[in-house]
Formats: sequence, C-alpha cells, structure tokens
Amino acid sequence: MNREKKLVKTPAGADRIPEQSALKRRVAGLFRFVLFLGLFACLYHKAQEILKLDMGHRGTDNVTGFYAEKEDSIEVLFIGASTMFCTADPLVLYEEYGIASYDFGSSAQPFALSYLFMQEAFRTQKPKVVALEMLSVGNELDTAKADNLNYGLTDMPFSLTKARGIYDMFQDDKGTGLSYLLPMMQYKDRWQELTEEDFADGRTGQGYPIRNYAKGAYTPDLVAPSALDFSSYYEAQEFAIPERNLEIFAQMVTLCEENNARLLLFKSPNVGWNISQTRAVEALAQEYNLPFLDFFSLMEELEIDPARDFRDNTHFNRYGSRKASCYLGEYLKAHYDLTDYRMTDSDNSWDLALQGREHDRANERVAKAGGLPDYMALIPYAGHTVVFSVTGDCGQMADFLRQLAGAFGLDAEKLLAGGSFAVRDGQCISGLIGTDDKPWRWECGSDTMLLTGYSITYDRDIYQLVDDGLTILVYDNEWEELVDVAGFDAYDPAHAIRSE
Amino acid sequence: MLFTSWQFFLMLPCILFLYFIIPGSWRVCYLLAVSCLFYACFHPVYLTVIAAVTALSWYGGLSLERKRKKQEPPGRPFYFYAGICLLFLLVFKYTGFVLDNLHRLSALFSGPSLELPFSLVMPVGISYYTFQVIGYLTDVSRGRIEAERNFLYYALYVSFFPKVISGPIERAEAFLPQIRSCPAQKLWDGGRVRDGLVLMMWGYFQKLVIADRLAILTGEVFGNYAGYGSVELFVAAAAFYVQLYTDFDGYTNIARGLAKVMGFSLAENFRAPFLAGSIREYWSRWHISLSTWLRDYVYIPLGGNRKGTLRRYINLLLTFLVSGFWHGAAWNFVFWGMLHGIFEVAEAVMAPWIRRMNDCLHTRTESFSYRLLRRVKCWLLVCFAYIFFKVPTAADGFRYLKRMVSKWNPWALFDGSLYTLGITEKYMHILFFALLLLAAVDQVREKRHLEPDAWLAQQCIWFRWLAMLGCLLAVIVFGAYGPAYDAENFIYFGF
Repeated sequence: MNREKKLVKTPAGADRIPEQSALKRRVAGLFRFVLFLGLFACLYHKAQEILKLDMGHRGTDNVTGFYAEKEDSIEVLFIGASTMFCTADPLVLYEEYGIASYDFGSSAQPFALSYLFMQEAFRTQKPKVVALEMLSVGNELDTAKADNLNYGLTDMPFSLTKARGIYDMFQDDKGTGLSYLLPMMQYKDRWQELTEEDFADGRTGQGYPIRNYAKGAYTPDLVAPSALDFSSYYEAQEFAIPERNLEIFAQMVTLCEENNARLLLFKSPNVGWNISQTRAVEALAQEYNLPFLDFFSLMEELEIDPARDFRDNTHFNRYGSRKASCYLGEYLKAHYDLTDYRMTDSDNSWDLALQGREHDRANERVAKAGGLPDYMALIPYAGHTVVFSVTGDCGQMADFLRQLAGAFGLDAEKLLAGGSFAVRDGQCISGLIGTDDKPWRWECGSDTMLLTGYSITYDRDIYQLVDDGLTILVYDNEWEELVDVAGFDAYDPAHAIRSE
Repeated sequence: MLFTSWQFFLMLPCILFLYFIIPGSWRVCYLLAVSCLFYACFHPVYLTVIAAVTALSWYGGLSLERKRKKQEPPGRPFYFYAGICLLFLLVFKYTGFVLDNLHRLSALFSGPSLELPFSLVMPVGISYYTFQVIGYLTDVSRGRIEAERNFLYYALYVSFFPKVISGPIERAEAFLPQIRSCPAQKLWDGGRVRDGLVLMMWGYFQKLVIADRLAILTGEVFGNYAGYGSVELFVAAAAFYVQLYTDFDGYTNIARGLAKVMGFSLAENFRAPFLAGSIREYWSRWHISLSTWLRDYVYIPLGGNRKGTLRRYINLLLTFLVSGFWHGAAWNFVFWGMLHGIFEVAEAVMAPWIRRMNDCLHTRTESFSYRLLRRVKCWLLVCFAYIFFKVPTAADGFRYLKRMVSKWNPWALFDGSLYTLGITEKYMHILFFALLLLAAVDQVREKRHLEPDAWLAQQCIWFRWLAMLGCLLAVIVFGAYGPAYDAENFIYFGF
C-alpha cells in the first residue's frame, strides 16, 4: 500500500523533510544532541591526550602505572615525593623479600597531594602497610608552583575523590583548581610545541605495561659529581610543621585506620634537611604512636656512601636505593605479616616487571659497552634487530669480520668490501647488501631505516658510519626503540664511537 | 560572575535546566531571582541601587501614564523621575571625575584638597540600565508605550541577566512584550536552543581567541608606547580597534545567544562596522543600541536636523559629547567622543565638495576600489580616535600620536619585531585565520543579512557539526584563558 508522505518546509530554507510526529522529532533531536556531545567528548579527550605533557620517566610512570595494577594486589604502598620513589625500589623488595609493593608518588609532591594519593590508592587497593616519605611535611602548599601539582595530577583519572582533593587544596582559587581537574586548561598552549611523538599511541606508560616495569620507582645508574656534604644536618634551626600539614597528617592517620592499613613513616637523606626537621617528624610519629625510619641516622649502618650512592643532593641512585630498599624489606618482613608473593603459584605483575627490568638492563649494558668483543657478547639477539655495516679499510678487523660473515653464512669478501646485513632474532633477514645496493631501506618497527654508504637514518636521526671499520645498530623490536648505534674503528676496535 | 568565568560555566547548565522544567507561571520570578543573584555576584550592595532605580522608574512610568491619560503634559514629573534615575548615574560615575578636576583647579590656586575620603565603586551596568529606564520613561510620557503595571515584569526588563552588565540597551516596546508572553511561551525549541548556543559559541570565539589574544599585544604596546616606533604603534592602534569590536560584539553575541536559548530576542548591537565607508555609517553599525538611543533621546529632542545646518552640527557635537561622557568619566573619553562629532560634522561639511570633485574627475563612485578607499579612510579615522579611548589620559593620547608620526621604523614590518609584542609567531598565524573567519562572518551579515547562527542553520548537518566542533575546539585550545592568563574583563563592562 502506498502511503503518501506530506512534505513540509522547515524554517530558514532547510531541506524539505517528511512530516514526522512530534515524538519522533524529539527522539531524533535528542539522538543528534547526544551524538554531537559524544563526538565532542571524544575529540576533547583525544586533544587533551595529545596536548598533555608526558610525565613518564624512562621505565616508570608512577601514576598511570598505578592505575594499571590489578585491584587489591599491593600489600605495601609507598607514598610521597621523588625522595620516596628514588629510595624504595619495589623490584628489590620483590626480588629479595617477595613483597608486593608500589611507589605511588610524584615529583615535588606537596603534602596535601600525598593525602589525595593515599585516598586514591585506597579506592582500588587494600595495602597492609602505607609507608609515607616525610620530605614535604614541612612545606606549605604553594599552588603557584604548577609543576609540583601537574606531576601528580595530570595523569590521575577523574574521580570524585580527585575533585574533592583539588577543591580542598584550592580553597582560595577555585578557578585554578579547576584547571587541574581539566588538564586541557593547563596544557592547551602546548599546541605550539607539538611533535610527532605527542601523536604516538604508545606514550610512556600507556599501552606498554611491561615497560612500566619499575613499579613507580626511579633509580637511574647515575652518580652525583661530588660526594654529598651533610655537614649542615646538625645545625639546628627553628622548624615547625605547618598547621595545615598537621591537619592533613591527622586525616592520613584516620584514613589508614579506616582502611586497616598501618602507617609507617620514613625519611631518606638529602642535603638541606636538618636535625630539627627530623625531631619534628619523630615527635609527630610518637604522638600518633607510629614507627619512623630515619635513613640519615641509618647511613653508617647501611654503609651508604655519600660519594657513590646518590645521583644528586636529594636523591639516591640505583646503588643507594638498593641498600635502602633491602633495609626496608628486612624491616617490613620483621614487623608486618606480609605474603611472600614469589612463593605463589600464579604469575603476578612483579614477575613480569622483573623481566622488563632485565630487558632494559640488557639494553643498557649494550649501550654502555666499550670494546668490540664485549659489545658482541652483550648483543641480545632475541627480540632485537641488529645491523652490521662495514665501511672503508677493515684493518685489524678483517679476521673478525670473516668469522662474523661465516656465522651468518654470508660471503666474507663481499662484507669486507663494504657490505652490510641485518639480523632479526638471530636470523639474517637481508642477505648481504653490497655498496651497489645502497641506499637500502626497510621497515623497522614504526619507522623506515635508511642505510647509505655513510650513514644510517632512523626516526629522522642520522647516525654517521665510521670511516674505516664496523658500525653496529641495535634495535629493540619488542619495545620499538633504538638501543644503540656504535662504531668500531678498524685500527682501534677496543673503543666504541657513539655520536651525540 | 563574568560570562568567561568558571563560575558562570558551572552555573549556566543548572540555570537553564531549571528554567526549562519549572512551570510557565514561575518563569518570570525565576529569571528575576537568577538576575538578582547574577548581579549580586559582582557587588551585592549595589543590588539596592538597581532596585531603587527600578522601583522609581516603574512608579514614575505609572505616574506619567496617569498624567498622560488625563492629557496633562508630563513636564516636571518626567524630569523628576528621569532626573533621580540619572542622579544615581551621575553620583556613582562622575563624582570622582568632577572632584578630581575641582581638586586640580583648587591645587592651581593652592586651595583645599577636594579628594573623596572613600572610594566610590561604580555599580556594574549602571550606564546601561539608567539609559534603559530613561528611554522607558520618555516613551511612556510620549505615549509610545503603555506603562508596565506588573512590577516583576518591569524589574526583569531592567535586570535581565544576559544584558544587565553591558547591554544591549533594550527598548521597552521590544522587550516587555517578550516578558509578558514568557509564561505562556512554548519554551523548548531544539532549533532555537541550538542557534542560541551557536551564537554564544561564536561570541566566545570572538572574545577568547581574538579579543583577549589581541589584548596581550595592545596591553604591551599601549602600556609602554614610549619604547615603540610608528609601525608597532600603528599596529597596536589597529589591533585595539579589532579587539574592541570582537570584545564587545563577542559579549553581545554571548548575551543574545543566551537570551535566545531562553526564548528572548535581544537587539542587534553591531552590523559589520569594519565595512563602514563614513563615520556616519560607522555609527549606524557600531553599538547600535546606544547610537539609536542617543539619536532618539538626545539628538532628536535637541532639534536634530530640523533647525538649520548650524544647529544640526551643534546637536551632533552635543550628542557625541554625551556619548563620550557615557563611555567614561575621563577627558580622554570626552575627547574621543568629540573627535567623532568633529569627524561627522567635517564629513557633512565636505560632502558637497567631494561630490563636486568626483563629478569633475568622473570618479566611479560605485566601483569596488572607491568603496574600499572610503572604508580604509573610515578605518584610519576610527583607529586614530580609539587611541584616545585606550590611553589613560588625553595627554598620553597626544604623546602616542606624536610618536606614531615621528618614530618611523618601517623595517619593523620585516625584521620580526611584531612577534615580540606578546603574541608568538604561531599565535599570530592563528589570529590571522581567526580574523579571516571574522571577515567572512561579517560579509555574511552584510550581504545576506544573516547572523552566524541563522546562516549555519541553513547548512547541512555535516558541515554544521564540523563548524561547531571546530569552533568549540578552537576556543578551548587557542582561547586566552586558564591559569597562564589574567582573565580579561569585557571592555564595555567598565562603562
């Protein structure tokens, strides 16, 4: 049956559409409205993700990493500023003591933000112990120092807890507080400095769980240029914990009690901290009957070396952190009823994290290796692409190169005459590329690698080949990053040459 | 609570939601309550001033109508009610100015200090609502409109929150009927709500992406004009004209859009002023609600052009003098107003001469180039006058002008100096595209007599959504707001 649809003219000369019932029109209007809002929300979210500053350190991303943890999987939670996550290393605690812990902190974290972190942590975790680093207890909240807040708040997902926490912190300037709830307001001017990396999907800590292996810790292999001078520590100065921080501390104690977590206070040594501050924290700990570990007074016992165990005036490096973490592990094991997760049958994320750390350390060793024999011994073929390129005169290296060609079943003389080849997972994938075949390009990870007779170009970076000798490029397929490009001179293969 | 404040953005959805769900009979009361709350956010004490002006003018309107119905001349009662309303404006806006000038005079003759012992803060929007109520009293006394008997309706007419702080100066004959029909009106009209929101969005684009960005440049150059050469000073003067337009038109579009969402139509305040070919035409396109108010309630009552050429010129100068005083209690505003008056009189005087010259030279006055030259001339005159609008004193204006003509540095156009005025090169590019968009919208206004929302409503949904999403994101990403910026007030908020 044919049904004629009456045509009506809509206002302002719009298309003629069939007359619809009022209800249908309303539903259609509502649908369009919701769809528009959805589209806007998606675009806004994407724009915000691109514009947001990547807060991740190499190998760790304290905040996003924490939210990626399985619920109720953390037994010991560390909270605080950078002095916290440069002191307690959850992987050492796991490897040595089987403790499942996480460093949930942010650089220069104000005390009020530590409270918000604690509240956020209890939303998804039920830690038995909360260990609070006390560096910021003496500092008033300075909302003008945007970075101190951005480090912690940028990657924290929206929640009512976060909104309430920000509201409490910004009583006098709620407009600025709002900008921490909507990171776009903080970062919108970054559109002027966007690069290709900002548009990449896998920004640090996002989509690469294994790369977030450090569980919040940051313990680089760096040593401070000179021994730290702690002589001012014993110069007593007037010090009082700000009233607001005392209130926040009382709230922290209550929060831990409500969540059946035991609060542990600790302080790692740093230049600038003094005995008056330590005494104030001790008094606070006594008032609430809480344990307090002062690593300054433990320095001798733990054999912490001011010349070797710090990376700067404030932070432990890998070596200092290991000593402190071992002490923390012993202490935690002795005083709290903690599970040894190494003994559990099921896989846990700390095992995966250990693999991640080992993977990174293997790359790190390659990138630091000096002589050619060491270098060859350290190359992790599995999961990596390695490019060998010979240039100019082979000098003392000729025998070595013949062996290398033999190992991969290649024509040694052609290699000696300026050949190149690529190996993936230990298998030669390119055959031998002679000088006539160059420039040679192939897809490697997310970018194209270009090999010419003089250089290798990858991700817009150009690496010069050595004039005479062998250049080796190591690319990590799994983590999709370039590990190292090292040149070995034909007459001095004991020293790797790396371009800046 | 400015339209660009976070408080406004948080409150607006709640205000609108409640407005759409409450019964029709409550709407006027609700809007009045919201308007009072909105006004009180600026300075709660001055709610009493607007309440007094409203009550007095409402009662005055009824009283004048009674007289009119008895066929008695309005005479003294009109001057009494209008005078008292005006007195509020004079006291709050001009006391400081008058005393300051008397103090200077007194200082010349070593007389006593005449400074106010306390600071008198001007109630926001007083210039706008005072003119509005004087217009209302005049219209009632002339019998053009009936006096409003419902005090709530009248109070809402005076204090309607989208327009109370910076206009448009609404005519009672256009706005009161809308309030009267509000309770019975069908409120939810998806198309109208959408159009209102689009107009608001365009207003925010003008304000945050263009005006507030240019404010950085003009603030820098006008604030330190002694350190800049001709090019920078000229660019800043031109930028200030654009800033003023986008700031005020942006505000007006937000106000009109918001009113439209709620089912009200506010008067048009701007019609592509950059396309004006003469000062007279400029004033028919710029701040229309004020210029028509001045025409109807100052210029025409003074005799308009009915009493001979000389009186016409005097009336014009007097009208622009009032305009200058209305804009601000400072000599630079008075000078600015007088400049416009002089320009318009000069145009009128020279018109026959120019016509004769064009006839002699066989000038193609309909050609694009002739129209363009007229527009450029008008642009330059308006920019020149606005220097006095921006600087703190008239003396500064003259010094600025002197520097503009004496420190000639054309190389500044090419050596990147313009990128050191507070706006980065990349933001300059964004501004360039934003100004192109502004020019396109003004062309549509001019040629097709369509507001941006009406024009967009004619487009297909894909284009419409693309434009709306693009504009929204542009405001969010390129807008000058957030913790890195000092929130810029709307310039006309200060008048």
